[in-house]
Amino acid sequence: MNNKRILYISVLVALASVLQITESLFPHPLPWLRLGLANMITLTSLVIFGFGIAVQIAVLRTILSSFLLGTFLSPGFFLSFSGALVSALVMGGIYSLGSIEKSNPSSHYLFGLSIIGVSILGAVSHNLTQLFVAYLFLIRHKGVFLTLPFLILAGVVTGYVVGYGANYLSKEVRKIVVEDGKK
Amino acid sequence: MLSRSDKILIFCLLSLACFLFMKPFFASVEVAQASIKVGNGPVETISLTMDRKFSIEGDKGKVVIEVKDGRVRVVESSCFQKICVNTGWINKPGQNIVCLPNKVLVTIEGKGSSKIDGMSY
Repeated sequence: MNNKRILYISVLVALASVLQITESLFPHPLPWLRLGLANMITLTSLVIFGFGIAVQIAVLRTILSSFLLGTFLSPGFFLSFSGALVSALVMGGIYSLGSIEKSNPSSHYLFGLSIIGVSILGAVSHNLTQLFVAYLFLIRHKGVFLTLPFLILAGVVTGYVVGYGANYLSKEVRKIVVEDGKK
Repeated sequence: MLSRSDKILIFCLLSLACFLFMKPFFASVEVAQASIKVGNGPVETISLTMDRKFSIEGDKGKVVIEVKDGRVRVVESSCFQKICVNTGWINKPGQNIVCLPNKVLVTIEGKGSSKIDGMSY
């Protein structure tokens, strides 16, 4: 791994952490309902740098932002960590499987999903993972699964918004990376 | 900007959410049984359809349990604070009566709508 790559990763991790911390300052009417802006960075890095680096960024940004927010090793940290990890794996899985279909470069992803579809899947899997982890470690009561429909709904909405943003962000970042590569 | 597969995905997820949302309303609220656990012992399941009164042996002594009209309560307990007795009748799935000194736990079983009464982080 060359130095430039490390530089990109660290900048992206820093950006993602800032987004996550900024977001935590907004009031949340429901404790687990957030927009997930940091996921935008995970998606962007997935598109530009690929699976492995996207997962690394997702893991690093949850750890870094939890240090800064003072929630490291708290229940909230484990929820955020597991959610980010699984959603990065799901999105990465779809992306790497999809890139086998090289014949159609306009749709990179499996089943012709655009970046918004991948983002929605990531958001929903993030929410479901959090719910499952919360069930296993925090509230061992089947009642928590009553929130499932709301979590799926929230995942679709936030996934759409984040995917829409990531679409533009990844285009801009790709320009920067390509220009930088020419120097 | 949304591709066709995106729309299909969104539609599938939304219909799944709707289905899961509607499900509790159609679920039959049949409260048929309660489970009783003493200490680390096995869980005993009792039916709530038959009215009766019986006593079990807790850690500190006798606990008298009454079943009536599909509800269950602790009538008498050998414990000090009588929290279990004061809990009164329970009949909704997920509700429970606890007697810590006697290590007795009575829970209503069932697939009916059990509500979360509080959450904190």
